[in-house]
Amino acid sequence: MDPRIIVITSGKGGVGKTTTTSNIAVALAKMGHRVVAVDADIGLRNLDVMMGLENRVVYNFIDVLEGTCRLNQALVRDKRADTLFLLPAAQTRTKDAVTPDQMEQLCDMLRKEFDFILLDSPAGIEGGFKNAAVGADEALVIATPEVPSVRDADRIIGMLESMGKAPIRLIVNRLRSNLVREGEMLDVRDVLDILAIDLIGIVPEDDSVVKSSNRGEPLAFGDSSPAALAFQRIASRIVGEEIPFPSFEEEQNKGFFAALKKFFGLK
Amino acid sequence: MPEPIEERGAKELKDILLKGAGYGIRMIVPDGISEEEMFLKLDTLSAEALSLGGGLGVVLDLQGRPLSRPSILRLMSEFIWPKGIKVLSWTAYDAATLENLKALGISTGEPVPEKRRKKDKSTPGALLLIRSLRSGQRVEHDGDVIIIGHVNDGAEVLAGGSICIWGRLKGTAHGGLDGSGEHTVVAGLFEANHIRIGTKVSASLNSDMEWWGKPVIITVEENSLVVRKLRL
Ligand SMILES: Nc1ncnc2c1ncn2[C@@H]1O[C@H](COP(=O)(O)OP(=O)(O)O)[C@@H](O)[C@H]1O
Ligand SMILES: [Mg+2]
Repeated sequence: MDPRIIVITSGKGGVGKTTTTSNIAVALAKMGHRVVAVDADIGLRNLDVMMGLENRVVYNFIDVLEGTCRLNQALVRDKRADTLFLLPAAQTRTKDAVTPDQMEQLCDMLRKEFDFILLDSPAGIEGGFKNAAVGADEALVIATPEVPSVRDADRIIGMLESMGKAPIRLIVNRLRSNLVREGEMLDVRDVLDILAIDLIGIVPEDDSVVKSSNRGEPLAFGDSSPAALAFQRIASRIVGEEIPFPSFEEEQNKGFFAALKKFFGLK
Repeated sequence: MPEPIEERGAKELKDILLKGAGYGIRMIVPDGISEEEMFLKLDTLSAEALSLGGGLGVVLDLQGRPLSRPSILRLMSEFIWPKGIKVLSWTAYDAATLENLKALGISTGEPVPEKRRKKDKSTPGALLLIRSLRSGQRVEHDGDVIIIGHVNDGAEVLAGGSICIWGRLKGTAHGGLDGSGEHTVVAGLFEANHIRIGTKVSASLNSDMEWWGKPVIITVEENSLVVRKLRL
């Protein structure tokens, strides 16, 4: 299998990029793939915290690029899964601390070692997004079902398209079915209608997400909460399995079934 | 004692002079050099000098030089075409040269300023775009714009002429930038918060309008914007 470099991004901040990166990384590693989660959100540095690895960070990828250490010295191995690694970000640097060339260089190094390279990037409206995304082949765009989030996602999709990323697929995060029913939140079909890209998963609003990130233990390690299952399904779809969208998602969204059929090319 | 400027210019000017002007660059060919010298000097004009205008137009000022038709053709085939120079017009005060230029169908005289150019009946062609415009993307064209796709919230289309959007219009469409108000905006599905044709800007629009979410045609009539449901 060719290594795949996937950037996880969004238009707005705070919509779940880091949560998604950590959970998908765990789920893919549990399938036996060699996975590295790269914290490309320089300056913020919270992927290590969400993965519960912050105490083991010694070097970061800028150290690797500047030759301060070797790649395998900067990689933090996750003891809970054999094939899972974290490549931390520098906290003290600004987002433009790396050049696009350096980022590509880093991705080329990682390509030799891993099956999946997941890049947790800054939001598109912030500086540094293009640098973080430059080395990626494909993209996962996270959007919450709200008008500003979708509009900013649209902008980022345009940028990703012009950078030649493919496929670019959508994750709708923090869906609250009661709000959709009350008309307070967009439904998934509305979001797909606007963004016109393929949907790869829907993650419901779930309190266990917040608890797990506080504990530093991604849900995908074994939790069976609705969000945990959603992240596992997304990982399976990333490796090409045809996982149907479960009925609870379908019931929650009037007209969602149509979008789902579209996704699978049934109609 | 220094000579008057004009005098000195006429006597000493042996080089082709490039002068910035509103429209771009004026290239003045002095009378004091022979035709062969002129070709030599044009040939050695540095690439930098020619790209100074960054694609701007050039007015070729032949002063009082007599130039035959073959010489004019040679000027085009050896200088203008190979160097990709955008000549706006030629000027000359030698009557025979002017005759020759006109006979070859070359535009003479001072260039038409941009503003008057736009009113010119020869409208620029239409721009056909078969894709959607996403938030932050912007298309600007002097002529008509046809979009086979959506114009999303946060995207912009600016056209000198009319705009036709096959899909959904949620972003900004501003037609008739030439100011004439004779143009039309058509959208397959209208969901935009405002619209503009020429100098007319709509009040804020919303889903209360009966044609919201429907195909529409928008025109300027008696000095105000009129939106109608489009029936085919
Ligand atoms: N599906 C979800 N349900 C509940 N909370 C969530 C969900 N996804 C993300 N969150 C919370 O939202 C906040 C922002 O998430 P994070 O992954 O840090 O976003 P980003 O990396 O895009 O800035 C975190 O506190 C996280 O726990
Ligand atoms: Mg983050």
